Amino acid sequence: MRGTSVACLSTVILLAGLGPVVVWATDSNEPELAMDVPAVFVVSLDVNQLEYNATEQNLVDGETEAQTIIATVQANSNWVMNIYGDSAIWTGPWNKPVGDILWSVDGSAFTPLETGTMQITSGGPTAGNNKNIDIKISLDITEDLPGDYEYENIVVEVSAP
Amino acid sequence: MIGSRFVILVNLLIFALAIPAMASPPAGTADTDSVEVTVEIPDFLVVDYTGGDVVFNVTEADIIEGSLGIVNQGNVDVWTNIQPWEINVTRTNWVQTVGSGWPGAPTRDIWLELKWGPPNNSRWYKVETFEQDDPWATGTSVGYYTFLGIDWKIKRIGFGDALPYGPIPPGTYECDVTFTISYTGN
Repeated sequence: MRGTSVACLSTVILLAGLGPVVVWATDSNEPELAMDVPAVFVVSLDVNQLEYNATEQNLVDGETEAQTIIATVQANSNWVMNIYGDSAIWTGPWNKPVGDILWSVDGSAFTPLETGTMQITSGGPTAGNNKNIDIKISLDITEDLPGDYEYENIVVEVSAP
Repeated sequence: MIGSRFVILVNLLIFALAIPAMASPPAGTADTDSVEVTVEIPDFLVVDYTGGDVVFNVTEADIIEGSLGIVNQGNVDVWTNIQPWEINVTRTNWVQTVGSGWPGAPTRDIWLELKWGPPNNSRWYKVETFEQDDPWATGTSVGYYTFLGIDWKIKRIGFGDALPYGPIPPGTYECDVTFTISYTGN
C-alpha cells in the first residue's frame, strides 16, 4: 500500500506539471507537426586526380610546384574540415612516405600529410564555402628512384566540430 | 496493484514523450571526398656551375712566362637519382671580342685547364672543344654532390707558344665552358 501511494503521488505530480501537453487533456483539431532536421555536411573537391611531372628544377628545389584543389563545403551547422591520407606509403619504386605530400590551405605554411586526421579549417552554416588546398610533393634525390608513383587517397572530410 | 501498474504505464508514457523533446538535434554524418595523386619521376642528371664568369687579367710577366696564375672560382653541383655517371667538360673555340689580328681558334689554341678543388683532386684536366674519353669526374652513387673550388688555368699564351702564327695580339678572348653529366650504366 505504501508503494502504491508513492506511485499515485508521483503520477499526480507529473500529470499536474505536464497537464497541458497531455493529449486527452485538450480538445483541438490543430495537428502537431514534428520534423527532425539533422546536421548535414557535404564536401566536394573540384578534381579527384592530381598529376605531377617532376622536373630537374623540382629536383634541385626538393619539391614540385603546388597544385590547387578547391573544396566546397555545404553545411547547416558549424563544421570542421579535416585532411588525412588513406595509406602510410605510396605505391611505386620504393615506399615513399605519405609525409612527402605537403598541404596548405588558403596560403598557410605547408604541412606534411598524415594518416591521422588533421584539421584544416572550420566554419559556420554555409550554402557553399570554398577552400583552396594547395598540394605539392616533396622530393628526395637520395630516395626517389626514377619511375611512376601513385598515392590513394588524400581524403578531405567535413564533420561536426 | 492496478493503480501501481497504471502509474508505471503513465510514467513510461511521459518519458517516452519527453525524451525526444529534450534530445539535441541529430549530429549528422561526416562527408568526405578524395583525390588521387600521381607523380612521375624521370631519370635525373643535373649538373650546375655556380660562381660566375671567370676572368683572367693578363700581365706582361704572364705573357713572357706563357701561362697565367690559377684562378680559384666557382663550384659544380650535381643532383642525380641514377648512377653511375660522369661529367665531361668542353669549351667553344676562342673568340677575340676586343682587338684585331687574331688568326682565330682552333688552329692556334690557348689552353684551358681546370680541376676540382684540392685536396680532393690534383689532376689538371685539359678542356677541349670536343668530349674526351677521359671524363673530368665520375660518380657511383645517387644524391647531391658539390665539387668545391674549381681551379682554372690558362696556358700557351707566350711568345713561343703561338708558332707558326706569331704571338697572340692584345685583346680580349672569350670561350664558353660547358659541364655535361651523363649516365654511364647499361
